[in-house]
Amino acid sequence: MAPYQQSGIGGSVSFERERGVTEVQVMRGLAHVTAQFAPETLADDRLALLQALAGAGVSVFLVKLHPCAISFAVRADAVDPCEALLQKRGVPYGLLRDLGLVTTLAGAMRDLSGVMARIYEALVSADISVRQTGDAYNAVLLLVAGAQTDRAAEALRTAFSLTSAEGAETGPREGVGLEAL
Amino acid sequence: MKILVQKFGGTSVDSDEHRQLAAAKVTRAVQAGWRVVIVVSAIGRAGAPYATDTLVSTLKNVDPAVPPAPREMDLMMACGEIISTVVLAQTLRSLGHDTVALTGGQAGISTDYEFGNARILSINPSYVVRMLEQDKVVLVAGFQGVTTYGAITTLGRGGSDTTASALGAALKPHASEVAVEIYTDVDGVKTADPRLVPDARTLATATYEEVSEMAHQGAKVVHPRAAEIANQYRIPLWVKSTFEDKPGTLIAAGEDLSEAIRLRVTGVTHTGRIVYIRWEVPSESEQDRGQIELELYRMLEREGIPIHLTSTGGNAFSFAVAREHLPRLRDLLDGLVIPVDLTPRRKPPFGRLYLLGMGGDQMAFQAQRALLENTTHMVELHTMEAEVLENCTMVSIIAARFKGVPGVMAMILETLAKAGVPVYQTADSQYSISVLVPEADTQKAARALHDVFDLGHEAAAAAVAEA
Repeated sequence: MAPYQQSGIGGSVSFERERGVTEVQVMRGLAHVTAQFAPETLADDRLALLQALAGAGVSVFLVKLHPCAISFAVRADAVDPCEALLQKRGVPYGLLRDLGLVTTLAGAMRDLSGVMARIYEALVSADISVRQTGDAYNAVLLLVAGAQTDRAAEALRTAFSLTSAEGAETGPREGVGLEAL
Repeated sequence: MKILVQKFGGTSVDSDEHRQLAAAKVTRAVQAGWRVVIVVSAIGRAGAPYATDTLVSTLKNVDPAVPPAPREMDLMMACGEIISTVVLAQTLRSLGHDTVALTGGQAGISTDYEFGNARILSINPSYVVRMLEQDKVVLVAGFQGVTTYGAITTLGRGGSDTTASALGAALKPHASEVAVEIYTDVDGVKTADPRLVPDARTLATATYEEVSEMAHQGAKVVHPRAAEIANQYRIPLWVKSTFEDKPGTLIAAGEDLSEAIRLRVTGVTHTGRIVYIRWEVPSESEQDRGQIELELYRMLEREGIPIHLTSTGGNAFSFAVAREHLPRLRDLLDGLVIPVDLTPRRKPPFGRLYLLGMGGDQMAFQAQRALLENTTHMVELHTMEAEVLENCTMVSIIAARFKGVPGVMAMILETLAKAGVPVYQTADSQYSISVLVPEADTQKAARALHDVFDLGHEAAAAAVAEA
């Protein structure tokens, strides 16, 4: 569904986006890394790791800070260099491969209450566990197991009464709300 | 004909002196050969006699126990813009302009029925076009429209910006050239809030996406709805000062601007008064965590409390809410019991109960725990006490393209560490990276990030992004 429509010169013109969720997108081939650190050196250690990853040319996204850890997602082609770096630095880590990113798009998410509830209702009903979440003003991002990606996307489209046509498949280098850092 | 839509904010029309300055902008445009449509906000800000907040208070104060009907509230709020439109029209008439003042409905703006936050469905600009063809200066009350059955509606936050942008789009088919100018009390879109960062610079140009992201991340520039409409219809949007004769900021499509602008770091924004709440689930079961999250989110939905900065994983999850919601959140969540997997079985445990605490005195939490401790022979009882960070701000770097540029997050965290600013959480999106920091460190964080990306110098900001 196009968010905007124009009926022609001289006639009425339609303008604003539909309210609420408008689209569900899917991206595959991602991995999620959680690196553990001692609490007393946490801030220094996680910064050093991010700098080392940058130095190795590894792009990360969905970066989240935890009391004793940092977690982030990487694309499939960055998993091996990332893992090699973690091992070289002796950082204890957990690595989940073959994940999918399911992105729910809405016009102004921060003005909406209940999107997260409906997302979780859909996913819990479909018995899908979420590995990580993130959000932007126009999107909620969910990292799920690769094998559950399609089911998660379908459950969300059903929950928000969207057709499959409103859920575009995006390649490994595309995707709303996802930029490497 | 060339059509220029000029929008004047409340401070641009709040005194005769300011109205004369606004009128001078109109006169100059007319002399330059434009046919002018003016969109006007309500006069002044809170406290001024016809400001929107004052009108709302007048109605609410009739009887604080009886909330006004949304339809009547919109009728009241729309009066502010109508009054300022007519006053500015009369100002222009006194200067020799032939003017016509219109309500949103008279200008052909149709909306849906969501009073207080209506969405523009269509604009039929034929009457406005006819008036322009008769060489009139057309003034339209911003922030409002009309439903199919004639009820006046208001457009919610940023409504007058949205009116201006939408009118520009509706008039485009009738014009050889169309542009929209948003007049305000600053001279354009800034790289940061100048109250926090004294060397904040006015951007000469910005893309629709940059401005939209800045607005969503807390900058008080053009409303994102207006930028979105201008983007869709490719209407050049200018942000200028009513009180100075400076060029302002041109907002346009990225492909119409230089490569350096498309790659740059644009600015630093901040949005304050945030509370960050983190929960640790005392169980390794991801299923339990999902159930608990679901119940919490349902409760927040029922209360109309939006959340953001969500994070989940392992046995923990967290989210942020606006600080104004914290008292209600404490009422709701302190002492809340969430049952998981509660089913009849031959022998106990018959399921798990999660008892939530919200920090503070936790009276409900303590009372519930005392009661529930008598049930532990039948169910597993787990307690979850929230970590509540009350005074937080989200500081964001706006950047159009981070794709394939490793190290930006490291650079931000390093900068803030050097500045002595603790970072509680981060979030990244297509056009921005945000960090959650203590509210007391907002200025320190904004200045440090503004400096490290060298946003005070245009060429340097682009070079940092490319590097």
